[in-house]
Amino acid sequence: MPEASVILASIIYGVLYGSVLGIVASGLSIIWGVMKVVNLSHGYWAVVGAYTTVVLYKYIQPSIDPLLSPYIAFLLGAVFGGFFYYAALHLVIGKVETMTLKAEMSSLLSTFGFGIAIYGFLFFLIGRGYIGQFESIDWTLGNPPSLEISGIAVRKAQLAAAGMATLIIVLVDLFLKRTTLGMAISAVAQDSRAVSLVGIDPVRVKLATAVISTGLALMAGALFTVAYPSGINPDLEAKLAPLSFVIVVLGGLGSVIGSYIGGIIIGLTYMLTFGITGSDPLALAVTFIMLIVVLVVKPTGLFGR
Amino acid sequence: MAMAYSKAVPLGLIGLFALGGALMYLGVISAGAATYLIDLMYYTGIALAMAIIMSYTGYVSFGHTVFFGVGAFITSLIMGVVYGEALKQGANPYPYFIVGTLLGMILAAGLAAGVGLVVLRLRGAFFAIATIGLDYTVLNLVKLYEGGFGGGEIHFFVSQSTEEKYVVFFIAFLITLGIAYYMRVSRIGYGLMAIREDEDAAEAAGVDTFKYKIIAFTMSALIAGLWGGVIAWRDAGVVAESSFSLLNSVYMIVMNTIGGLGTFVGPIMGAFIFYPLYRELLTSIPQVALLPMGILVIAIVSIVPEGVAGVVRRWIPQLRRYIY
Repeated sequence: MPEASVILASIIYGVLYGSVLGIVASGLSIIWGVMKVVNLSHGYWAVVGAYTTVVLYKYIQPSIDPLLSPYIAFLLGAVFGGFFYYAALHLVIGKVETMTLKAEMSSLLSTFGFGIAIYGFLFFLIGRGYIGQFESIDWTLGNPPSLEISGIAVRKAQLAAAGMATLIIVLVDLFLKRTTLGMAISAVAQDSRAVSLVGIDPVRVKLATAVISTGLALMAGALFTVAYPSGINPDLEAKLAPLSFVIVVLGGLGSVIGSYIGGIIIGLTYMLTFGITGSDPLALAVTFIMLIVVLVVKPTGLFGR
Repeated sequence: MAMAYSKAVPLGLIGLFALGGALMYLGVISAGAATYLIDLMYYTGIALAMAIIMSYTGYVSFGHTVFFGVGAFITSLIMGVVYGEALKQGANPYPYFIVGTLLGMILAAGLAAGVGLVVLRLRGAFFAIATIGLDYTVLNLVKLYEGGFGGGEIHFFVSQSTEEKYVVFFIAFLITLGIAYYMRVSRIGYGLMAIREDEDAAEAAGVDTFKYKIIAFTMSALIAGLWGGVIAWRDAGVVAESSFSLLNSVYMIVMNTIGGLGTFVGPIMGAFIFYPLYRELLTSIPQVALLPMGILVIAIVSIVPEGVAGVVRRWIPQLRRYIY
């Protein structure tokens, strides 16, 4: 039996890790819930966000504080999102009213194509020496950079990232529930035909969804770098994307709060398994077994309708 | 009425690669050209492995690199450990290579059947996502293996001439082509097409869709495992990071998409387009080639979702007998 302090540390780290993962998943949850697009480029966009923090801090003068970079990354992502929609999605699903399995598979393949194009482009930039294949930022928040919670050292940057993640989730949820555009987006998720009947242009709603989702992806990646400032590389996608799929399925498609809670559940599962067994592969295996169990037993997730 | 499937394409392919081999033995073509054909057989082979589940059945699997990797790993294990001992008495490597590859294929197929029993209950995108999870999990588990070279790495001693390579790849290609062709034109093939077109309707019509999907996924994994074993033999070892790399699944999916889903000939065309292009684009950083490949995939899906094979069928209806 591991010591109580190991368990406590795993719980703290799990919640912190999970809240950041929740943000990665929230953007995916929106685009998947609203458009029924399983966006395979989402994880690659998050990697672009992670590099954004690095570039803003390291490669430009004057350097920009990493705490600001998630917001800049969101704006950048919003612009990319518009491009992404017209490049990869408009021709495939712009005119589609109800998603069929065929349309779903087409959008899966086109976002997959977009994802590998981003991946290739990142390596192109690496080849030209604009960015490094393995990046880290030499940055800490506060002095001393860590504080102790019941004897467990926690970096302030990680706490700040988790706090920002929580705030962002609340804001996005308010946006979806209280603003006209947000409500239109939620409405399309429920019934896209009825939405066009009341005079809302579904294409504009789809565009807005892609913009917000991609913005959130970049923001999440930037936030990830704030919390975990080393080992940023293009293959981070292989870690973030599968976990966010698990989280979205767990939390229920289209539910941002669900993503947040799902993120924390996955963060806890991962860190506790890791803390108890000390094995990273085993911790990942457990989270994916959870994915398959949820997919088979309750595919609508915890908060899905 | 069932259309008569012409055997021209599979026989033509066999003829092409047999001719290539003959010319290599006669010294007409260089070792470099022979290697080109060897690689082309390999890419066509893995495209056909994926085709059984993706093109014929309509399910996208990101897990095929796992089946490929299992084949590579088991073959390397047999070659590295068992043959490594036998080599001291000067043993012939081929029996060990064949046994290793067969074991790898069986294990890959068994894994697919086991995983399939659970995940093939899922439709469309959910299935794809479940297989994405498989990749990363198995890669990390394999990296736990310590054989003295680092996590998930095995190297062994084997030397082979270009001629030997050509023969081994040609045999693997014949097995692949035979299985893939059978899976398309047999009764099972009709069942898979029915699933692809409309799974609910197929089930209502009495097709045991779940059984057919399991068969397709298992045979698909069997071939992926075969090529994993062959590549491990060629490279005299396995490195988990590259044998289990998601890139292997990516290449298979790209070739199927370019060539045309729903067909037997499409994925072959996809491989014949992909491989020359890939070689042309290849720089010191192989990942860069994915940038134009990704754009090509988006263009195909957005503009001609039926792929190259579909376009050819539409433009030249006379070729329908050959492109199915």
